[in-house]
Order: sequence, then structure tokens, then C-alpha cells
Amino acid sequence: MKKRSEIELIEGCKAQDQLLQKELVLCYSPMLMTVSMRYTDSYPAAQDVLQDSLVKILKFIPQYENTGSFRAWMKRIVINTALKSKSRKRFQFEDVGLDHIHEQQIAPNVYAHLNAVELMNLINSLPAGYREIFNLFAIEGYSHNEIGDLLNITSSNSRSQLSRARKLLQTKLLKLEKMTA
Amino acid sequence: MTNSKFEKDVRGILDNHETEVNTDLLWSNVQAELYPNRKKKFAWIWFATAGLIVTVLMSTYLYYLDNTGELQPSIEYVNKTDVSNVEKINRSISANSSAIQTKKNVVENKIDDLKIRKKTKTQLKNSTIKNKIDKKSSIAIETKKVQHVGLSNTSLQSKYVSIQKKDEKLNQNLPTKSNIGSDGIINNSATINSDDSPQNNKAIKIDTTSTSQAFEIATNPAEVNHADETPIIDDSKAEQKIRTIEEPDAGETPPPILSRKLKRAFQVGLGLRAGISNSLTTLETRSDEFSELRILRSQSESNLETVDFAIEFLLKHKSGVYISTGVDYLRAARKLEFNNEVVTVDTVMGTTVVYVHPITMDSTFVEGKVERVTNTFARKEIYNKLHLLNIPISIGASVDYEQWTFGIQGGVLLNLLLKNKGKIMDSESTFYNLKNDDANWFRNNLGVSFQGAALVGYNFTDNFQLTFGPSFRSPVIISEDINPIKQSQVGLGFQVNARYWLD
Repeated sequence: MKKRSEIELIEGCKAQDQLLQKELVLCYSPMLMTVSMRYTDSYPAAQDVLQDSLVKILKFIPQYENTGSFRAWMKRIVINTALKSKSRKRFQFEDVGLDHIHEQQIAPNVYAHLNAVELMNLINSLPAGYREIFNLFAIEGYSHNEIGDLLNITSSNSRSQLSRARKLLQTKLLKLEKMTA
Repeated sequence: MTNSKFEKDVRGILDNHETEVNTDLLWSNVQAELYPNRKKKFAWIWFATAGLIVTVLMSTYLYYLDNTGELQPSIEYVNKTDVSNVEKINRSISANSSAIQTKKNVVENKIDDLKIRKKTKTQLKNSTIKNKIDKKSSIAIETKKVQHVGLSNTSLQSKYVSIQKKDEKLNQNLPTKSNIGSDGIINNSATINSDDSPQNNKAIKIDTTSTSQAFEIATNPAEVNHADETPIIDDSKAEQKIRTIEEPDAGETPPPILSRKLKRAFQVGLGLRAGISNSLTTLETRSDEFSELRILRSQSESNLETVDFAIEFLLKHKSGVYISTGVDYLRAARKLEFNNEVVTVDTVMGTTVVYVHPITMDSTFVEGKVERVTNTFARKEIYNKLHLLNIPISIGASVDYEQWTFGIQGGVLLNLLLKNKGKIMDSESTFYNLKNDDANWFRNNLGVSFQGAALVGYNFTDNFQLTFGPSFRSPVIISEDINPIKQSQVGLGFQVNARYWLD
């Protein structure tokens, strides 16, 4: 079967062409699954989020106005779905006793040998609140104000939580470095 | 080195990372949420339509059956119907039908029997009445005699009381209006004699009052002689009455009953049909980009036979025009042929290592298991079967010539896809499973198509006929709009019908 361009897929999905809808799902699911996994605790939970997100994407695709990245638009839907659908305890940040640790630079040699899956597992090992803020800020590129709106917290709270997340990640990386050394 | 560098690196690594996911399962779940119960909804519409049609036809038929009982008219109308039947049969005899001739004889015999039975019963009744009247007359005469011989008042009174009792008993036994019609023919005969024959009525009336008159006669002997008169039963008048019943006046028609008229005009029939045709399939591309796929499918698929079986309910007008409906099952078959390559990997014993001595150049062979890859090419066939349920609604007309019948019929078919099994190619290396129909390429509700047939047949009896002839079915589009290939099937074949017309 011929590979269609992104524009063709979008227009086909807007016209509710099931063949193109299927193609869109087949094409973007692996990428969106990675996003979903970053915000969920398990693979089955990530699948559920992805399924709900795809239904939303195909339902609301007529509202996409071809401005901005289509991938970013889809990612945003996945993230919103993941954050809203989780029966998580809303931001009960865990105090993991990191106040004595100063935020330091993480040397590239510490994480250079890690592949994508290992890196993702490392991030996923963070407590849920820290993980979400780290993912939103560091990977998705959201600002603290946007994170505050999305998670219904203040931007300063977001900053402090990000700092804690970085410290925790640093600790984990150093532990990992010692283990491999 | 800052944390922003670390985060940038992490973003770069994770941004392009893809996680493996079962996309087919995911799509089927997404599709189920986007288009819920679509297939079932349409299926129920067609089933409801079919149920409605069948119910209407069966109700009509049952209505006729129920009214057959109600149509049993009184004795007068039975006779009248019989007479009209004779005329009707007489007209039909001219068509030299042996069956009708037999029917005529039966009906005529029936009429003769009825006449004889009526006459006999009338005479019997008359003679019974005559006997009763004789008895009564003798009692009256006895009373008179008692008066004349001058018996004492006491003995006369006791005699009179016993006579009066006899008289009452006789009166009870006489036919009255209240028991008319409760016993069939005998009672009807009684009706004729007591109600319709003035002569008889007169005779009975005179007699039933005779006892009281007799008592009065004691004081007026001149009138006693009248009681001695014998009543006259006029048989010729009774016969005349029978004739009147059999040949009623023009104004004496039975009440018009709609169902009776319909029964005369229409005939209900049941039929079985079997057909065989070639499922001529047409594959068209919806756009040029799918032309390769169309060629691939055209080359890999071929037509096989289509068979269909149907149960029909028919309603035929006496003019020969009929409508029919029922349920029709159709199975269309196609064959997918392709070259199949099977790669088999196994191990065999062989040389795994060869050592060569650098000086002596001696070779040492080490035996062991060696991997062997076998490629097998085979022509493979898959049979695709399309199962349809159709609701045919047809109109037809037929003419009879002696025992032969010739007719045409045409109508619509409401199509419903029950099951689609098999595989088609959707690329050179992959197949699309028709049963799962993941992309909803094929329709469940196929809409409406048209059918027609020309039939020649033979009437084995008045009720049973066998017809056969060529048949045609217009294209049935079985693919959905999202299917890159528009697929339709035409039927051109032969059909046989067995029909039984109910009386």
C-alpha cells in the first residue's frame, strides 16, 4: 500500500475515511505510545490512554486547523488524556528527603551509555508527581505556567517540584554510575 | 555542563523513540468506539422488514381460513350456492377439464341427494303431523260421544281432564318455531311445513284448539262436527317450496361478505425455489492510485457458482397476476489463487569445520549439525464464500394453455449480508481477511437489487405446478465506500420453482 503524506491523512480523517483513519492509527501509534508510557505506571494503562487519545484525535481532527505541528497536537491530546484519566492521587508530592542535596550538573558520561528504554525506565522510576513535571518541562517543553494550568498547581510549585525531580534523578544516575563502575 | 544540556539530550533520545504496540487490535478497539453497533443496527432493520412482510401474508392467509367457517350459510344459501356452482362448473366444463368434470358430478349428486332427503323428510313430517291430527280428532270425537250418551258430570269431568292432559302432551310434541334450525335438515324441513306452508299451518291451528272447542261443543253440539274434519297435507305445495328455495328470487341474495369475494378472486400459494447462476463479479477502482490493487485482485480471483434457495408465499388473482415474497438464501463463491512460498529451516548432519594443516596440508573434517533452508513454492487456493439473506418482493403474471403455464416475474431483493468468509489480497504479500473485515470494507446492509425471470411450467394437478426458466439478478454492491475497490456481483442463471396453490 502506498504511504500517504501527513496532509492526505489529515484530510482523509476529516472526511471520516476509515481506511485513512486506520492508516493514521497504524502510523502514529508507536510514537504516541511512548508519550503515553511516560505518563502512566504500566504498559496496559498506557494502552488504555492511547486508545482513548486516538478516539479523541479522530473525533476532534476537524478542529485541527493545519497550523503548528500535527504531531505536537496529537501529543498534547495524549498528555491531557493521561493526566485526566489516571485515578491518581492528585499531586500528593512525596517528600523523599532531598533538601540536603544541592542541584548539580549531570555529566554526559553518566547517561551516555543508556539507551532510550533505559532512560525512560529511569524517569519512570521517579514518583508520579515529579515524573509528570519533569516530563512536561524537560521533554515536552512546557513552561511552568503551562504546567501549573495543566496540573492545577502554582508555577512556583512546579519549579520547586522540578528541582526536586532533578535532584532525585541525579541521585539515581549517580547510583547507577557507581553500580556500573 | 548544565541540566538543560541533560534535558535536551534526553528529549532528543526520547522524542524519536517508538514503542511497539499491537496496532491492529488498537484500531479495532478505536473503530468500535467510533462506530458503535453499526452492523447490528442495519441487520435489525432488515429482519424487522422481513418479519413484517411474512406476518402480513400469514395473517391474510389465516384470515381466509377463519372465514371459511363463517362462510357456511343457512340451508337456503347452501342450496343456492350449489346451484350457482353448477352453473359455474358448467362453464368450466367447456374447457375440457377432467378434474372439473369430476367435481361437477360430485356437486350434482350432492344436490340430488339433498332434494331427495328434503322431500322424504317433508313427507315423513307431514305424515307424522297427520297422525297426530288423527289422534286429536279421535279424542274430540270421543268427547262428543260422551256428551251424547249423557254421562254424569263427574265422570265427564274426569274424562275431560285426562283428554286435556293428552291434548297438552300432543301440543308439546308439535313442531314450534323455537326448535327450528337447531337440528339441521329435519328441523329446516319442519320450518318449511310449519311456517311456510299455509295449508299445514291451518291444519295444525285448527287441531291445537280443538280440545277447548270440544268443551264448548257440549253446549253447542252443532259445531262438534267440524272437529271431525281430517286435515289436508298438500305435498305439491311442499315441493313447490323446495323449488322456491333452490331457485330463489333475484332479490334474495346472500349478504355480501368481503372475505368471500376476496376468496373467489384470489388464491394463496406456497412455493419452493432453487437457482444456480454464475456470480459475475466486477472490480472497479475508486481512484487511480488503487489500480495496481485492482489488477492484483482481478488476476488472483476468479468466479465460481452462486446457488440460492427460497421459500415463497404467493397471492394470485384469478386473472393470473400474482405477488410473491418470502425468504431467499444465496451463496456466492469465488476462488483466490496465489503463489505461496514456504521457507523451512531445519538441520542436517554435515561438515561444520574443515581444518587444514599448514605444513602437511592434511584436512580434518568435523561433522555436526548444519542449518538447511528450503524454499517451497506452491500454488495455493482459498475459497471465498459470500452468504446473503434476501427478502424478495416480486410481481408476476402467468397464462395457462392446457396443462402448460407460461409466465414472467420481476421485483426487488432486499439484501442482507450474513457472512463473508475467505481472503483477498491487499498487497503482493499481505491478505485481507473477509471474515474479520477489520477496515469495514464490506457492507452488511447491501441495499436493494432487482431480479427477473421468465418461466415455463407444467400443471401436474389443479394445485401443483412446476416451473423453470432463466433468471437475472441486477448488480449487488457488496463493498463499502472506504474499500479502495468497488465490488459488485451480477447473477445470470437458471431457476426451478415448485408451487402449490391452496383451495
